[in-house]
Amino acid sequence: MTAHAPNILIVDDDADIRDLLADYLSQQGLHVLTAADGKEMQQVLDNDPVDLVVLDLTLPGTDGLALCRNLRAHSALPVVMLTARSSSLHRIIGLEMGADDYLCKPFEPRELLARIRNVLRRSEGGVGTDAEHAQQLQFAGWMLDMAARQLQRADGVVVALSAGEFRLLKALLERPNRVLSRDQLLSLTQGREAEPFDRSVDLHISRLRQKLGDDARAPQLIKTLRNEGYMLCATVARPS
Amino acid sequence: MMHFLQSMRGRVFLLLIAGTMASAVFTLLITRHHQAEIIARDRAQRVAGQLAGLVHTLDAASPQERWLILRTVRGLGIQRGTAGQATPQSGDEILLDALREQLGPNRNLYTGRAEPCREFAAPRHMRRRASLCQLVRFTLLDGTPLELVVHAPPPFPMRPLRPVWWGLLLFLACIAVLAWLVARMTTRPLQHLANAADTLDLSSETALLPEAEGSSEVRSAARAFNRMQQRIHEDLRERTGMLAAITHDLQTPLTRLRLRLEKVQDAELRDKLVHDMNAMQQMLQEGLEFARSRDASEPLQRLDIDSLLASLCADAVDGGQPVQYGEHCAAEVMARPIALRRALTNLIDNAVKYGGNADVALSCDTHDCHIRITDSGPGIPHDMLETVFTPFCRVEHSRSRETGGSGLGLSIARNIVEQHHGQLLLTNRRGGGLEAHVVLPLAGR
Repeated sequence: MTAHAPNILIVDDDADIRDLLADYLSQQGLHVLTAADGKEMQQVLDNDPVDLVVLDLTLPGTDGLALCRNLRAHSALPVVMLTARSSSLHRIIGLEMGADDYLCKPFEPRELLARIRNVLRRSEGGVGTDAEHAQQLQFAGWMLDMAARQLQRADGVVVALSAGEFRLLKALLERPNRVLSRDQLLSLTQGREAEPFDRSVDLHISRLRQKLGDDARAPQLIKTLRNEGYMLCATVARPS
Repeated sequence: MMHFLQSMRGRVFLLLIAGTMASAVFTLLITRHHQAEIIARDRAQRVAGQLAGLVHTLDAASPQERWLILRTVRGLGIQRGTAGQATPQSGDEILLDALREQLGPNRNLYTGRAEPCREFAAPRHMRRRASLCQLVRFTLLDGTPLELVVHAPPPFPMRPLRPVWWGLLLFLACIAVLAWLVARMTTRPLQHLANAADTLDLSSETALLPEAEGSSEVRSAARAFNRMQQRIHEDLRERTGMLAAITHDLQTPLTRLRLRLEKVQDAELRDKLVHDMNAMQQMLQEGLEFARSRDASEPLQRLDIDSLLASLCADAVDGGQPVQYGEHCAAEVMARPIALRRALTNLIDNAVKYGGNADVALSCDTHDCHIRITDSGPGIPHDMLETVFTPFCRVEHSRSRETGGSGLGLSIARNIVEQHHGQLLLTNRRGGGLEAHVVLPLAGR
């Protein structure tokens, strides 16, 4: 966390939502700026330092997706997209345009706050990689579809993942060939510290190995390093 | 056999055979009749020729010679008529025509039946048959009227029809083959149409019927069918679009409302309001899901169904729900994974919500996989087992509201399962509890 309160820019054409959101976020200790459309957004960005943009998808004039793409082209400013639509298609487009996260209206205010904090932490920590914006990741003959949250085997068969397994695999794929401790994996996947005797990571790892056809006694893909954690041994590629 | 008779193919086949046979018999009868007529005319011509020869001879002879001549021709079956032999019955028209032709006009020709015939000294070979005698009256060139009785042999007997069996069989076989081909040709397009209507997938734009094949009627039927299919799709799209639009437009005021609720100071009131709003939002969401459950923009993929069930159960367990994944087997189905996940989630949620827990099992046979989701709840009254699939239908109103169902979960699930060419059935288990049974066809190798 930076010392000062992070500057959040809210871009939404609905004045009520803009003000209500500004109220809520400032109550939670964030510094909030607002803009009604792309033009105002650019003015604010030119005049004030901004740490994160909360961007509505449907805006008059230049829409949210185009604004997001412009932002991405010029800076690494984190973006959380808001949209009234909840089909997977928009999620894919949103991620492709470079949004760091994505939330459907109507949302839990607390959920938005959590996402904002999460994105801020990731962008400051610099742990983010290219993989975070990818739609699909390829590794060891498998393909992970980020939008549908499912795996596809080399022969085209879809293998479903539970939410926990998906988060874990995503965390591993974003950091291939690096040892990740249980604590790291827990905070990456569930945003919480490991409690004593927490075996959920081990459970998910064993399920993942089963689904990936990785022999638990002599794993090739997800290796166990005694007293250290786990490591995904594969080349991870983003299909162009 | 009954089935064959009831089918259009059978009927057309039989009708064609019967019609062809009837027309063949009719043609045969006409031909025979015609033949008999030709023979009769030929015989009349011959008799007329004989008579004409006699008349010309008589014309040239003196009265004494005439007497002699007439005595001579008795052997040929011609005799002077005697009084009382004439009857009012008219004679042989064909003979009269033939005589007129041979003798020319001015002879006062008349023919009639003569009775009796038996005094006749007819030649022996003619006598045996019942014969008819014709009375012919005319005048000679010198004006002497003369009346002759001509013994006309009976009509030539036609040979009776003797069936040629192998010919008849060959004929029948030919007609049968032809009738079968025609019947097939006429009924096949109908079968195609029925198949197309049967497999009409409301969720996706399936291959339409070919509009440029077959006869003009078949083509116009195919065009009509395709138009109907398009209209259904348009209607469906419109409905889905409308629901989506309503849901979408409601999302902005709902977002405002949700944010305003944060300003409510009374924590208890705020929680209740948030709860109400969430229920509302869930209903909207499910309405949208329902509208989408018939739409299949998601591509079909080969799916490891075992992994899907394992994931769903793991998610439920992670969420603190009493869900167990028991018996299972390796199986792959052609599926829209996100939609199928939605359907199965609904069934598991229902089991937990109304039955207290969910036991999930997967078994396979040669063609299908069977997913059974069972609970230990009270089940559903027998007469409600089908009606619960109707949108917005709830079994027990007060209880369902409490648990916050929209009454769409099962409708969504069934729509999606049927879209996968599967079946979804609910049954009450003997030991208590409800079983949701999903049958999905396995993906071909």
